[in-house]
Amino acid sequence: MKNILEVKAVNQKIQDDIILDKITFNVEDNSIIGLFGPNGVGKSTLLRKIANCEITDGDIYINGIANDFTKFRTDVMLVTSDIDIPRSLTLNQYCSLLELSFDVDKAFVKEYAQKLDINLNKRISTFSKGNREMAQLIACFATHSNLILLDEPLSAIDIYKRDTVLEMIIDSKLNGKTIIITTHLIDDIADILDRVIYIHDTKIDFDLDIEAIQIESSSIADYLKNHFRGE
Amino acid sequence: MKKKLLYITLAESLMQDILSGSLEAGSKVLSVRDMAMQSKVNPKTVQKAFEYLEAREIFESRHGEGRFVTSDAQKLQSIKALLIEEEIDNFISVIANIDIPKEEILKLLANKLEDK
Repeated sequence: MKNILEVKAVNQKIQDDIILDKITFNVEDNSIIGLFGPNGVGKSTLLRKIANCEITDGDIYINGIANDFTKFRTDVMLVTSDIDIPRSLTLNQYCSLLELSFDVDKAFVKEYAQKLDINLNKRISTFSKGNREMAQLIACFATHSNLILLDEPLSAIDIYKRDTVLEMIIDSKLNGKTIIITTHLIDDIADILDRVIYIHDTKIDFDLDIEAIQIESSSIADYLKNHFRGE
Repeated sequence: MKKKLLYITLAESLMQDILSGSLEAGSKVLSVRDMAMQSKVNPKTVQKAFEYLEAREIFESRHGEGRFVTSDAQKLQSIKALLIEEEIDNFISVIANIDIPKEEILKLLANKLEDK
């Protein structure tokens, strides 16, 4: 297995406050990683840097190529609720727009739009927040990008659709993608993870294979409780 | 207390399905892909659960055909022992920290089983 992502000594400061302090980790190809930590710990900032949206102090390599935020790259995709898809378009039109830069798997779009009850030909402006998020997820997973970053992907999605979203993430892993997920709903996604990276107090607090957590605790939430009680 | 790894839990639930008949002896098993997507667990976990069952000869791989539930009566019978053994290991690890003589535990257990 090769590393699809290498993060080397990434720092982030806001004025004199250190947010991220020499964050370093690698991600193996074809894995699902949970990136967790308390609010405001810099997870979203880190994802934006990996997605090549921001100047970075430190180095980030995706598929062996260094990030340079002045260049557009198609091998990484970030889905967050702040980067919204154009609401005047339908999902079909949005996918056609993506096709200018990406290969888009139209069959995948059709399959999951149907499973998630998303109308391909209705303007996204008519969608609920949850449906907009799902539309964005579908479009992003349908592209050829092999590194997908999901910032709180499940927050507005109701529990009946959540399983299908998990299925879509597993399907994408099986199709060769690597997925990094941040969420508060940690134990909702625990079963699909390969590994957990936990950021706390500007640093990586732990970086463990999911089995190392399962062997100690009945859930990730439980593991976190014990971990911080021990401090 | 040791916790159960997810692949063991998955393997156990498959064995329960065989005992209950919802997964029939001799039938073809879902592929890793389909099982992962259906049960919403990491494909690696499914792979390990399948390997666990193959090592115990409850599943058998047939070249080019996929994976099947064994139809060997003796091996099917061994599922009960495997499941009970897991439960007993679990029970022992739970009570490990309770200071109580072995005879007492056996007596309590016998009484409980009597009540059933």
